Amino acid sequence: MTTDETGNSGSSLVPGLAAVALFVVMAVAIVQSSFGTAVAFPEGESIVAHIGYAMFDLQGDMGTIASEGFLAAFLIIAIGLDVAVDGALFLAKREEEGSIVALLTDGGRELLDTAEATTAATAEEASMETDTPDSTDTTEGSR
Amino acid sequence: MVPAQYYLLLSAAVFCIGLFGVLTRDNALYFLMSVELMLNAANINFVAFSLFWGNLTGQTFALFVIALAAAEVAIGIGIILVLYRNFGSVSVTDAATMRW
Repeated sequence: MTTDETGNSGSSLVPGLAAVALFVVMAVAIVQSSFGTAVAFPEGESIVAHIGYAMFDLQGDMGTIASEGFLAAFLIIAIGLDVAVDGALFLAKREEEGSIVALLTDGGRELLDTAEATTAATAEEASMETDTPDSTDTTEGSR
Repeated sequence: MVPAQYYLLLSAAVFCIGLFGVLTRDNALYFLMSVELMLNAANINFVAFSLFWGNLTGQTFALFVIALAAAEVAIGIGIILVLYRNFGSVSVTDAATMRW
């Protein structure tokens, strides 16, 4: 199940005190710090357009807001996303059947009931095989 | 302009909420959500200091962090699916070894 059935859900809150303590330390450090005078963006400039310039290394030619070039990072992230999608499909694919369509339709639940489903399917097929000749015989007999 | 300390306090709070979830929960789905909170806390810092210093590097980098978070969720959900198939639950404490 996707719910925690172990009965100890939420009982281990003690490690969470470390997170609370970390927040207290960080809050004290942040409140006591100073960051100088803010430098805002220039008036009338499109931030979104300049993000696009920075993403494709065009800020030197077209941009007026300071930034760095991210073309290499953009391509690396694109490859990383492709790898992630392939990895997710590889992990989600069943070893026995390997059908992505079956995974999308049943959400991956079928494999847990494989033994029962196989037994039921076998029994159903067997009953159909035994029923079919009888019905044929009945039909032929009636003729 | 809103002082940078406010953004940093918000970011620290979101990060610590995510850390709290990672430290206290067994459910792998909670883990994924908590890690997303921590990544978004970093994004708040990137955008806040980008605005503060008038430099677009932080905002651009935040977009890449969002893309990395999407990749992480794709892999994470695949791992959770395998965990559920093999153990019948999504508790991270059930998978105690690298092989089963």
